[in-house]
Amino acid sequence: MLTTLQLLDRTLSSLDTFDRLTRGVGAERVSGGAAPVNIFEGERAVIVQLAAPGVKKEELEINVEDDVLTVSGARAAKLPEGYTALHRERRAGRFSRSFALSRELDAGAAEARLEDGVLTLTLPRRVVSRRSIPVQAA
Amino acid sequence: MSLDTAESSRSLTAPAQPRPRLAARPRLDLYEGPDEFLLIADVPGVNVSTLDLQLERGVLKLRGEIQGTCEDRAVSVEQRATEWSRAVTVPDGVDAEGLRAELGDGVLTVHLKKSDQARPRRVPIAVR
Repeated sequence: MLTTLQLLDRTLSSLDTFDRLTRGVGAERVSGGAAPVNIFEGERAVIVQLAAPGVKKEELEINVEDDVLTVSGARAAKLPEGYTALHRERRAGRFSRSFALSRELDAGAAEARLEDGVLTLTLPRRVVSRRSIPVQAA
Repeated sequence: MSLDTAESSRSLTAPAQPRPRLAARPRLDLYEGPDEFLLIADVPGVNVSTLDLQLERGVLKLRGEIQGTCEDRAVSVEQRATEWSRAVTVPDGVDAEGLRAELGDGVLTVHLKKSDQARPRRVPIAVR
């Protein structure tokens, strides 16, 4: 359990770093704050929940590369036709969040579900099989 | 433009519950069309069964419980709220009977129909 905690601590600091890194690259505007993330740790998996209201399944991209999980997407700032805006607070544009994955998690078996504007990623822990090797007397 | 009424901060001081309740104000847009106003609010994690919408004396109150908060241990929380709550003063000339709302993908859309008096009317001009 302690190992996981340390690894997740690393995840958190990396999360900040990655957000900062992405912001500086290219012309693409990336606002991490537009998609708040909660991370939960369970016995069998780590669960990442990302709020993405109004974002369709097709508009989300989830990638794993070099132990870095990246969720990105875009939300159009479309004005309903024939309407004028009186007040606007909802954010639009691209968002991207990255997380360093611990080796303990099996990204290949990850599952993603989008429901009520919340993306839930389930990252199962790897099943470690233990085998004891008998020592034979000479 | 100030949309909010004093009501919206009340829920923050609500008495403690077994699962600590924390209300957050959803971000919202307000649009005006010829026949109606459109109020669009981001309420991720809310589904129809936990959403409550009320219009009373020109104040629209919305409250929705955020579903899907895991029982597992939280290691990083950026979205702390357990419910969305906001009270908004609706524009003048809204027909309370003609209120209609839709919820999809964590976005609430409220159609506020204008009353007949509030709708723009073309004035016929007679040629003499």
